Amino acid sequence: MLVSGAEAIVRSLKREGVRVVFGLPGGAILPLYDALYDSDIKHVLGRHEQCVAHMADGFARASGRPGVCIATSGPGATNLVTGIATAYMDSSPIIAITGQVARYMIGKDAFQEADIVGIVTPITKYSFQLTSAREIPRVFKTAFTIATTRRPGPVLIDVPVDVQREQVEIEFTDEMDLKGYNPNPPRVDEDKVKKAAKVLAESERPLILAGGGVKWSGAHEELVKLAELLMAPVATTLMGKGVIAEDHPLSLGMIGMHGKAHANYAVLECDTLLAVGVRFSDRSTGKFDEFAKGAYKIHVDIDSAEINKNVIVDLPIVGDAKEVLRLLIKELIGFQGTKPHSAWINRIKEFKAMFECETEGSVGGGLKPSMVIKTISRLLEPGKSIVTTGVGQNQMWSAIHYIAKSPRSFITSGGLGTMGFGFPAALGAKVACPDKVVVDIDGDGSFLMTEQDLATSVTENIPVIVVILNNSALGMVRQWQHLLYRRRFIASSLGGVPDFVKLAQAFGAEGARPNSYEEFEETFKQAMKSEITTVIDVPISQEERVFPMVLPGRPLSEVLISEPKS
Amino acid sequence: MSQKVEPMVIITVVEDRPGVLYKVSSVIRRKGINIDAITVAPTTEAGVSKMTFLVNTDSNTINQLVRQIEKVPTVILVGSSPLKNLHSRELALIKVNVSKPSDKEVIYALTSKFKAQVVEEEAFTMTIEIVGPPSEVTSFINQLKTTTEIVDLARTGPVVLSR
Repeated sequence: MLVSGAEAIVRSLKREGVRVVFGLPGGAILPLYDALYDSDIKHVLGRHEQCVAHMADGFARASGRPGVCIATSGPGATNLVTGIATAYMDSSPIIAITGQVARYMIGKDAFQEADIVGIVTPITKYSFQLTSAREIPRVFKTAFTIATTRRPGPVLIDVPVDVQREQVEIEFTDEMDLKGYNPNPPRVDEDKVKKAAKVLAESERPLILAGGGVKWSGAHEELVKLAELLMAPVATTLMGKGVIAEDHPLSLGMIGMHGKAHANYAVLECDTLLAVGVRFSDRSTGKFDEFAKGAYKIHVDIDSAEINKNVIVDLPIVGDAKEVLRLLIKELIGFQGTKPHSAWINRIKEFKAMFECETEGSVGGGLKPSMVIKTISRLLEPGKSIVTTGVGQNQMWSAIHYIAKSPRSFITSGGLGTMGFGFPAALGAKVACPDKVVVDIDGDGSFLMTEQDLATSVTENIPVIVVILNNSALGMVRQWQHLLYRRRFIASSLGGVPDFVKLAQAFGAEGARPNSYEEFEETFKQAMKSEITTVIDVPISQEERVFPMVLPGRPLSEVLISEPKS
Repeated sequence: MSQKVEPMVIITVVEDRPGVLYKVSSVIRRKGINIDAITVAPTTEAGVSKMTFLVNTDSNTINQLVRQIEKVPTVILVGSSPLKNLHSRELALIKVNVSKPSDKEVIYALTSKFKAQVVEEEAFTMTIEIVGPPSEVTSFINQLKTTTEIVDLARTGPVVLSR
């Protein structure tokens, strides 16, 4: 049929089941917008391209389906970069569509021209620049396939404006251009699974470490089943938070720099570590060489490039987490000689008791962040709520104190650590799951980076709750300056502006500043029922620190439970 | 785990389209590894090229690199090997100054020893072609340097085939 490139893009999106896109138009993408005018795809208008990328990312992380964002050429495209890099680091499938100057203008430094494909090459799984409208069905099919299969990740498609306008005869097929990419998961080596099952069954102190790969693979049920079968405690990375309900008796919570102390100690003492869908980030492992030093390490990951990248393992199993865990369960069910690990479980209970009050004793005025987050955790209904976070202290307090009970219920920028991520990601998550209560636990510094999208939230009718743990500071920077730079605080105080209550109101949202826990609880309950976004500005002390903490570059054994006496 | 650093070859079979070299070389760049030589040329299959990279590194790093390069969707095949385990040939064109006639005799003697060819001979310059294992090309160039002045030099970098 004869269609324009822009119409072909809309059709391709529909063929991929896309019902909503996040975007911000400009000259070089207007033909596509004109085609969207005639379609039933919902468009959410962001106020900054970084936000539309984070929204698509939040949508993908909440739903497991690819998120689509659209920007114009030049600055529109470059503003997406932080959002694309964020998605890349956390393996989130987003499709970024960018306008580009007309084909004959490319390379001539035209107005609003940027070599976006060149710019995003290291932070996308793949990127395309269209040279003809004829390529559209094939490229879009290929792009969605690459983004969502194997280890997911962002894909960018750059579309010159004249390609969008070009009228061509197009046959829509599901054919792809994939000589060098196999979308099917790698074949699992069953001998390795047998070996792993044997080692796990015979181990006295097994530990499972679950990461984001478990979530993307949808392997959470298998994970819990395997843990129960082995009676093995389960720790998670930040990305894995929620893949096992954190109130499950075998759940240890998060490991790492700000992980639970007892989880870190369990890593130190386990004799067999089964790591599933993790990439051994330095923030999770501490010093690589010291990580689970004595343990026999089994690493399950779909990306063979992760094997032995950071931590050298004894038994790598390349494959899809769900499939490998299923095979492991099958092996273990028939296995005689699984030992009860009561001594190990008791040892872990001892750790837990030892560090029970690990994060309570803090200082200063205002509300305690731990108490605020515990209140949120108590009020939110499991399975019907999603928490997103900013980056910094707010994020780590949330990781420590929020009890995630289902996968995809805790969304945070782990790898890139992008401040400003929490709020637009919450908007994206709410669009994906309109029936859930979505809460962004944020910091004043983080929220200030993307707060203009309150406009999006109000005008597009996407109500979320923003809880700002407001210490008028770049709190984590201050914490590092305190602990590592002899309290020489520079450039980390934010001066107590803006007034977030008035700011929220200026955008037409609700704003509130509770001064007690009772007030907070009341406000939060109101906000859960509200049909409009509520910004809850919670004053906390600048002296609040995140503990436990493992100092950068140190092994997990050196976890600090509270501020070192100096 | 310290490993021996030596000349290593990464061979990739890729889809012949714009940006492939950029994508693969950027994976190598991210690991902080310098590319000593690259050759790119078509294969027997239409639309498919072979790219050969020469790098100096250890086998651990090269294994990591190969797995990263494998992930590039336009890369069809990738493998690696120490240079010394492969058939390798390199071509060099070398232009030298000849200030007196007796120099020419020395150069002819050298070219015949190395089975090199004189491509062009002028009054005061000669252009020589040599094909051989990269180490032989290097030693030819070194010996030329002791005899005369090299004005210009172009080396292809190694092309390789498995033994």
